Amino acid sequence: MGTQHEQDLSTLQKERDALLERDVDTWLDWVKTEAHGYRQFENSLSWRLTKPVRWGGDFIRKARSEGVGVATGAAISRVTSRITKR
Amino acid sequence: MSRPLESADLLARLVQAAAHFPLEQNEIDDLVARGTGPLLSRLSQLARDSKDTAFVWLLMVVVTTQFPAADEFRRTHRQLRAARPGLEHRAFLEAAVRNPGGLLMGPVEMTIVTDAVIADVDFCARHTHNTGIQRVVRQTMARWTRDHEVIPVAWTSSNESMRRLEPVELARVVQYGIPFDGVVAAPRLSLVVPFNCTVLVLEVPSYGLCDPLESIAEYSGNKVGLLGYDAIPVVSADTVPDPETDRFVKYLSVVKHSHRVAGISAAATGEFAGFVSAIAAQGLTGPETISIPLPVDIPDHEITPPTGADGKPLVLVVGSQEPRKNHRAILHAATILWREGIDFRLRFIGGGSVWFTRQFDKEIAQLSKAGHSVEVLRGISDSTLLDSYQRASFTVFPSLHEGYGLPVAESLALGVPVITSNYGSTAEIAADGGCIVIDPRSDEQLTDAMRRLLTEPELGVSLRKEISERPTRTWDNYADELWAGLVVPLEASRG
Repeated sequence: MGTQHEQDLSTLQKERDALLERDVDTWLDWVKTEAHGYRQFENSLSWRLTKPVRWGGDFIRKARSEGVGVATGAAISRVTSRITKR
Repeated sequence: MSRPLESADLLARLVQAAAHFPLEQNEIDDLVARGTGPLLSRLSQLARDSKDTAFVWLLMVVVTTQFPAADEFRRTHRQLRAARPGLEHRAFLEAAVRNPGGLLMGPVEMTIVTDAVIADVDFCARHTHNTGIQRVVRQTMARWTRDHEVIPVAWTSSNESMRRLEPVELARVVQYGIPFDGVVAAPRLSLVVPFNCTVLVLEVPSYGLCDPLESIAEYSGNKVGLLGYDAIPVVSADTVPDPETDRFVKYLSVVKHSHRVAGISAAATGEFAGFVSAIAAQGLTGPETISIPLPVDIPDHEITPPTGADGKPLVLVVGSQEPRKNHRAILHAATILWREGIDFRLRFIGGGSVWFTRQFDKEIAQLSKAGHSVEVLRGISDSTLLDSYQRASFTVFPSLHEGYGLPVAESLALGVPVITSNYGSTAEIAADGGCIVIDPRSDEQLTDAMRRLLTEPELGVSLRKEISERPTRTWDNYADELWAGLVVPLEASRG
């Protein structure tokens, strides 16, 4: 059995630990909300409709910096990877 | 989509990190029993109090699952130092809020790797493209993974963190050209976090990777070694597309904080040494630069002697079609020689950006239409390339600027004389014999050298004799020397 002082310290530490846990939990809630929003955004019609345009943009940027051959190879890898994921 | 991140996921990662902090095991056990918050809080305090920025970097990666950019690192580090006592952990949580990319994908497998050699081979792992840099990386890695403990890594798709290679990617790096007979499964993300490691950047990284690599070199405590290929995008910026220069200038931020650069020739090493001299103006010391020249060898491939009649002598030009390679000068020289009545075939092998090849192809088509024997081969296999070398009377490589000049080396390795430039790395290769060196800016010298090799058979014989007397230097030699010259000193320096 500890002294009153030790008991007080233990109580204070538990209270502090709970506060630290709350910080982490709040942060995790934020991560979940953001992830949910991110998924919703990725699933939105406008985002899916504009996907080919974005792919086109990526292709042009890659072709400019690394050549058409490399860009085409990357595009094929990307498509293959999408297909094999399914 | 995987399940959302939970407190236990973060706790598991923090426990891994805690093993590398100055903490006794019983203290770690006690903190784990108390929960994720208390453990994060204690590690944050230790990171703040340490003079070693590596702990801050490690904790940032563990919390955010993202390798920070240097700016983000500095911001978080300052926030940590300025935090009120007891609230240090918020610097890391807020860093994750500013950079949520990795976390949004849910929990991922993460391993903190210590005392290891890690090789970043991102491009070679993802792509089958195989010209200069990729040939060096693949030949070297095939030997290093056989002879040493080295972990090849690539990056996640958004350039957020290092990850282990998929089996098909590993095969692309170390068994290039051999059909992959494994299973191509859906990728399983397994992050690799180097801590007190030697990190080798064997390629010129893409633009998006330069920020996290700079931060690794400057703040993570890992020792970073680079292969210095050339500084062409800056020194010869007039000959390359602007985005290539932008990317290379960004890459120089990685170079300036790295610890050792192994140039692939004395000329390339000189370029990096020049940059290191320049950054003294920024108050930085920069990396040590050493020269470990590439070999005079061919890629791993079975050599079969060419069959069939050849007819006219073949003049071979290997290399991408871009202004720096000076191919128009070769076309000019060939046109003059054809007009003089000298009969030969001219073959170019190599791809290039469509912005350059379109006009070049038009000129080839015009010459062909005029009855001259000229062709361009692109996207060919190594066996076709090696066959062409063996059929050639000689090769021509009058490049205006090279880091090394692999086609010169490959030609010599197959016993075929070369006409090449009389300075820089190509002159270094030529010094051991078998070449005619010329000023690549002199059309007359190039035309004269080609004329002599086409009309004076004894010159070709004499050059082939010189080639047979050259000292041999193979990919095995290069891989061994590079390990000894680049990796071993970095390993020693991290204690």
